[in-house]
Amino acid sequence: MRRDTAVRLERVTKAFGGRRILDDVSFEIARGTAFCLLGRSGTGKSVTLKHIVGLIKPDRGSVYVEGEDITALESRELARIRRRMGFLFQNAALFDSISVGENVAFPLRRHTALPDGEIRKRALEKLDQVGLADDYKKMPAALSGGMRKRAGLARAMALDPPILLVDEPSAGLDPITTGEIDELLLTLKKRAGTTLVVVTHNIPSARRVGDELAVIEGGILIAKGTAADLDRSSEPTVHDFMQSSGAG
Amino acid sequence: MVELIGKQVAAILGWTGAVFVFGVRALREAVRPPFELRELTRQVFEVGWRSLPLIVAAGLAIGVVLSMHTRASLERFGAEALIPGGLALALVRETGPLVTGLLLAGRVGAGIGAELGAMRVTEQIDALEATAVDSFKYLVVTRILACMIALPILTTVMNFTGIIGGFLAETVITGMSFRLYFHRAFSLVEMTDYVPATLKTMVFGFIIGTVASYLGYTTEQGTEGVGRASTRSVVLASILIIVCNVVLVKMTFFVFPEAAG
Amino acid sequence: MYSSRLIGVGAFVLGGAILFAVGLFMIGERRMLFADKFEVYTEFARLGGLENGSTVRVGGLDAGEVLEINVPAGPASRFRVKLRIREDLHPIIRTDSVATIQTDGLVGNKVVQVGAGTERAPRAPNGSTIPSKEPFELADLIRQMSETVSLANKAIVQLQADIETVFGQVDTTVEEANQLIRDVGTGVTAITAHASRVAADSRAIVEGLRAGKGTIGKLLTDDQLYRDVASIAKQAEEAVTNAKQASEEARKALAGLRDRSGPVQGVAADLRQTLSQTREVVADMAENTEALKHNFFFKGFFNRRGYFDLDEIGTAAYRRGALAGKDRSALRIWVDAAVLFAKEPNGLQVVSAGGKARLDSAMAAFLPYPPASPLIIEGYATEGSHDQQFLDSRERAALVREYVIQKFHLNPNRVGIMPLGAVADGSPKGRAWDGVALALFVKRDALRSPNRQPAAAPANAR
Repeated sequence: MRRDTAVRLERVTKAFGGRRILDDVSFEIARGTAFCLLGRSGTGKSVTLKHIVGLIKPDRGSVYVEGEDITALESRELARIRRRMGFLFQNAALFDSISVGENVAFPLRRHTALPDGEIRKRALEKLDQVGLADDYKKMPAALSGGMRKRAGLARAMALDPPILLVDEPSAGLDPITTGEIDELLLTLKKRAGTTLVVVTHNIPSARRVGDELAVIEGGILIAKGTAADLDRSSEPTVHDFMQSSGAG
Repeated sequence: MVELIGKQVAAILGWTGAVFVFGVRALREAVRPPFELRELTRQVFEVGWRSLPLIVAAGLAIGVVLSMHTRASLERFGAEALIPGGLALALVRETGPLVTGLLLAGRVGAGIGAELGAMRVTEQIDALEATAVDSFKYLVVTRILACMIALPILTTVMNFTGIIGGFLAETVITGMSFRLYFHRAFSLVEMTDYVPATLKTMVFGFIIGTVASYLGYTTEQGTEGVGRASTRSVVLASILIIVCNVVLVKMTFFVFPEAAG
Repeated sequence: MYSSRLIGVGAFVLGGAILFAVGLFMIGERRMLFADKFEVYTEFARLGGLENGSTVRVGGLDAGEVLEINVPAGPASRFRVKLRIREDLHPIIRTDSVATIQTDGLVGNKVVQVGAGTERAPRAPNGSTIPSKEPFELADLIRQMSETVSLANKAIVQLQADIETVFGQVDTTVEEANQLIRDVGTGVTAITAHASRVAADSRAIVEGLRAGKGTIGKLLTDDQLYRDVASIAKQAEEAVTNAKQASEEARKALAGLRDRSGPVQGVAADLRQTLSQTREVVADMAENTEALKHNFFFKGFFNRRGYFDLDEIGTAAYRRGALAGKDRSALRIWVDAAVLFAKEPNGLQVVSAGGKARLDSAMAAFLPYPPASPLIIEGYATEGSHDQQFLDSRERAALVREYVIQKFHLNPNRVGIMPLGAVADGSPKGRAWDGVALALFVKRDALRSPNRQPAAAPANAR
């Protein structure tokens, strides 16, 4: 295992109710790089992401985060690892009993001893980065789907985690905002050396952000490499996928 | 047919066992740090403070009605002087705790079931976990504890508003002073009527919190499941409270034989 | 800076705790948990449902509770009850304060009532034992009553048989005495009539008891009833004693009659007196059993019936109208001494034939009134000194009384004599009278309808 490996999946297999979602998936993500998981809906991309953060335990295989096998950790240790990761859920999963700003401030309140003013300042900063500086006091229900997604991203970034897991950052966003989000992710990677794991089916976006791309089909990792590598792939599914505009 | 009944019984037993384990786990987690005081405060506010209007209104109404009933039956024996005492005894011993329990099972049970169900379905619970928060401790333990804290207090409020309701009904007829009424109200109530009956509502609180949290926390099948969790929380918590009350009353009599008098 | 939510929760929890504490305090205050207390013991053979925590009252004031009840070691000893009482009531709890177990009103809680002691006795020290009175059990009392009454009943029945026997002997005696007095027969009849009333009354008492048990059982167990029943039981016992005594006296009197050396050999007046005594004894018994019968269910039987003990009314009180009272009026018939009396050859004063006729017609005027109305024979005499007048008037009244009782079978207890000397206000002769006056004291309401006689009551219609 390389010392600079941030995340490594080793022969991960997972089935739900007899249906195999992940089948012997293995990959490795280097520190400070962006890894894009591509694939059609329901092929196991989100499940892979949840394995990395420990929300789902594999039936077989291991998940290493910063060198530790998180499948073997007890909850307190797991929490320590999780604090080093940010997670944007597919549908944002904002806590709808508290305001947008408090959603972003939530991880800070939980895991830092900062004074209230400082926490608010930082939360506002993160919201500003995703273009929601004016919506601190709004309740999540008052936001549109795209705005919720961006607020979710702000929350995921709140603790400036070394690893950021992003599930469909651009779903439901207009092309301009999508571009802005991509820029934001690239900046994070460049400035803070954040490791990015991005699940998407927006190919242009993946091309822009991803250092390495992987395609999952039917729970099996069928291709992995740079965008250029995949463009050259002889596998018809991969080829078709890379040529699509990404909405499907 | 036998097989079907067997399956049903097994399902009920399995469910009960799961809820019990869930509740015991919550109690065990409750004594381990970190204590989610902030969230606990929020839940006490939601469960307790926000239920006050309901409890006060119900208490007054029950007090008035109980007073009218006891008057009707005691008047026959010329024992009107016993009305405050009889009313307070009925309230403190059984009516107060049980009605409070059932009202809270309705208001809070449904709320918790729906809230946790929605949080499960919209991945908010996963989001909590991903934020390195123990969602069980944060969501379940705090709610169960809040119910256990709020119920004895709300029961006490119910008892007193009930007595006030009884006083209102009484003073309209006889013009009795509040001081005298209040004194008479406590003329028949013993410590063994008052303390165990009030504290047993902590068990009601535990039941409400546990059942609703369990159903909400383990919700599946999307939005439809949320509605089901909410409804079943109310029904199952209410039934469990009524059944448990029988056992608790029996236990009270066993521990304090003089309470049976 | 606290959020409003925090303040709400604070108010909720604190307010709830305070409210709960108020409840605790209200109960605690009643149970005197927060006052200074002292403890005394008392002992009861029966607890009648008393339990730990039962209220203790001192002079009716809630003053504490029963702390513990120690079971006796053997049948001979009693339950030892520890009482906890408010210290501020200590001054009135003396070593002679008596503890009783009582029932508290309708709900029937048992309470220990501790009476105030007397000034003579010292304060009951903490931990001392004060005397007690056993709880009153109605059922026991009723059983006791039944026994007493059936005992009385037996005695009376026995007595009646005795009397019958003795009366038989009277007849013999009288015959042997060569019928010295004509009216002995009448006297015997009167005595027999009374004796059978005694028997009937006794039966009625027992039946009344049997029927009355249920009624008594339903009544609440208040103090008044306890006292009533207790006094009734005592009266019953007294009645039996009286009856026995009466029986003894009757026997003696009749034995005296038969004795050859007794009064039979003497003057007729003595025989008359003896007979009269016997009759009164039996009538007393009848009265007593009658009272007993009624007293089970009514208190103040005597008062309500307007019964006066004539023996206790003196001349002066009589003149003031003690017997008339508020609700009675006297009907008077004046009879002159000249018409009434005759002197026998041996110097004995008797009621003459004309006098008897006069008295009969006077009594005829009285008979329509209720038989319970007291009849007083007032005696008057104008000759001789003041003392002589008094003695004469007394003898005259006594003679007339003897005659009317015999003749009309009157209850001797309702017929009295009143020697009044010469002074007679409102007599036909002005301020003085020589002779007697028959005074019937009739209730005013009965006076208004003098025609009401028992015979006038409608017969049982079928």
